[in-house]
Amino acid sequence: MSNPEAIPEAIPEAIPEANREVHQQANREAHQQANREAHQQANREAHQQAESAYFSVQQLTKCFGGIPAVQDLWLEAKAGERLALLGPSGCGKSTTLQMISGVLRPDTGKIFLEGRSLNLVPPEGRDMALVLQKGLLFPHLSVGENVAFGLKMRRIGRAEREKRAIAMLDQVQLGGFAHRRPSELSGGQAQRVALARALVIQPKILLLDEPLSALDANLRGNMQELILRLQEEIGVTLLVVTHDQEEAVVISDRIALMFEGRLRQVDTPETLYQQPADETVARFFGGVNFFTATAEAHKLTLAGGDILTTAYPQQGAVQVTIRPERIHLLADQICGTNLLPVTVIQNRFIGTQRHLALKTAAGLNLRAWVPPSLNFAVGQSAFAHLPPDALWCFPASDASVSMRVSDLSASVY
Amino acid sequence: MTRKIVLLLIIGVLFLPFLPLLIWSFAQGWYFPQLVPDWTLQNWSDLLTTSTKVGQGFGQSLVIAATSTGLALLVGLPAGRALGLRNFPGKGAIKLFLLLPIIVSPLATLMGIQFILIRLGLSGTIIGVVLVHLLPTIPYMTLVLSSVYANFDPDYEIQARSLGASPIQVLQQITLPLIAPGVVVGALFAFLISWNEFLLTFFVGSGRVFTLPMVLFTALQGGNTGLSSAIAITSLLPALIFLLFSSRALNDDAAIGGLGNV
Repeated sequence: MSNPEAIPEAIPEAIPEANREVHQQANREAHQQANREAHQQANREAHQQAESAYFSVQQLTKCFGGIPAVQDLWLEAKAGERLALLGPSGCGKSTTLQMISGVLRPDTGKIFLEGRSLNLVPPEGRDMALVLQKGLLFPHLSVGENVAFGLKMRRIGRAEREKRAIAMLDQVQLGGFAHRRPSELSGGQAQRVALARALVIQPKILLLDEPLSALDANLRGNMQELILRLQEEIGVTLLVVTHDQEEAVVISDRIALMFEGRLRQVDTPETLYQQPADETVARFFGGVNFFTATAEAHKLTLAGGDILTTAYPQQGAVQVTIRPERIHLLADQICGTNLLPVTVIQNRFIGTQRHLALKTAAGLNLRAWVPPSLNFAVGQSAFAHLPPDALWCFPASDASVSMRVSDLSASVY
Repeated sequence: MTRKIVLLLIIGVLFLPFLPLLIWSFAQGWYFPQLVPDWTLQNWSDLLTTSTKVGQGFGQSLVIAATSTGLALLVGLPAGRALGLRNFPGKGAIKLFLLLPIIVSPLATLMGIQFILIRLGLSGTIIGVVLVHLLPTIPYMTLVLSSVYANFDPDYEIQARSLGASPIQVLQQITLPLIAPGVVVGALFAFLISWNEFLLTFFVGSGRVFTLPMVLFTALQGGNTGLSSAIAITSLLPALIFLLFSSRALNDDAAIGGLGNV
């Protein structure tokens, strides 16, 4: 594992000798990073599966003026999968999308779709359709002409074109809008037309760039539903790029989380919430409870002497986290394990939940999000139950590395 | 109602200076103390005779102005795009540099230009005149188009390409229609600058290239006020036709980019 040459060795014969030089160099630099072990493993696994994956991105790197925007990115998707590329602004996710769609040329790395390398394929030949944040309907064309644009570029006859465009408009619930001008549409309608325009060409991959962020809250829900329903009907592979973790969680099967040009964790939304790879990931997904402990298999000894049991065995100094909504607050001591006596020091009602700030006897601060019916007065004593399967830990040494990033991501909120 | 009156006033003020021209062009002579001149159609029928060279001048002006406009567009479109959409070191200096032909009097540069054109054998040819007309037209065109492109969202092009359009198709179907109003303005500027150019044509044409301003100059020198007025009015025609034709394109709200901050 420590041998930096290990990965280039595994690259298939197809890569010319000259490229291999660059390859090795890029890899070597990448390896100087802190979490190299995990990295290499991920790389190797990704590479082994790359042959069989429907869509895959390998070792993608792009620099702007010597500053890396995307570094050594590996990603893959199964046919019909919904994948989200999530990260704070400036993390390189848009650059990645541009490289996948063919607008930008990667410095190194490869992009495969159905086993075919796309590196030399121009955007119009990639069988991918892009929906940008602003919708961007062509203002000089009618709604119908906008939807039929991709078909026209594919030299499909006028009659067939119109038939398919109108059918597609019906599918996004905009039947009868074909003759309107884009300027006559609302933001939500324009976004739906943009979706229809992308789907009518039957792309292999639908690329969505922040599809909901320009819409107001109540339209978002409708649009999410529409995207999910159409995706299920058509079965298109979906790649969503977004900075909004809620949007990513709702739309996708798996989320690829990016920080500073690198992938940090690729997992299902549930895993990212419950079992984040490190504190930065946890904080990005709204994690607020972090404390240090010493782990001996399932036993966690907190700094104040309290002892908790976790479902996930660890050894040594660890950083423990628990989702605020997983903490149960009880007025009485009813079950024995993982129960900490606490005092309520803050109570904020936010409609669907109550956000409570708690302090244990040992001085540990916790935040718990409880149902609004559970009303605890400030200063009241209670018992916080931390379920063993909700207590997740990662090695404490990671914390120092990620602190730098977490400061950055905290400013995003 | 008041709006109409104001509009009529504006039109009146704008067109009043042309009134004496119009009268002169229909007059045989109009001297003090005559209140009304002796009317004649002689000046206008003279326009059509070959001896006045008006027909030839009109034709040559048209060819030269159209060619310079076309060439200026060819240079201005990519140059304007680069200045409008990209950031690169020295961009401000280049913009200033573009203004040089407008700032520096052509009188200062004409001798040198004439010298080089004679050596190239282009002096006194239409090609030579077109070349020197590019001197003022290219900067105007580039500056107009750079502000047009600055208001153009290149994401439209990315969007079109991802939907299957080749770069040529993107240019034809998306970019040009969207920047059309700005292109029309730029072309109008360039055409009129070339159409009205006197000094450059006078020097480089060496009397062999005979555009409408040259014809007008000759007529004025000959002291024929009536014919001069008729030629002057004729020389206004293309601009008026162009304006009428382009006003439709300029009014089209759907076409974005538009005039930008021209």
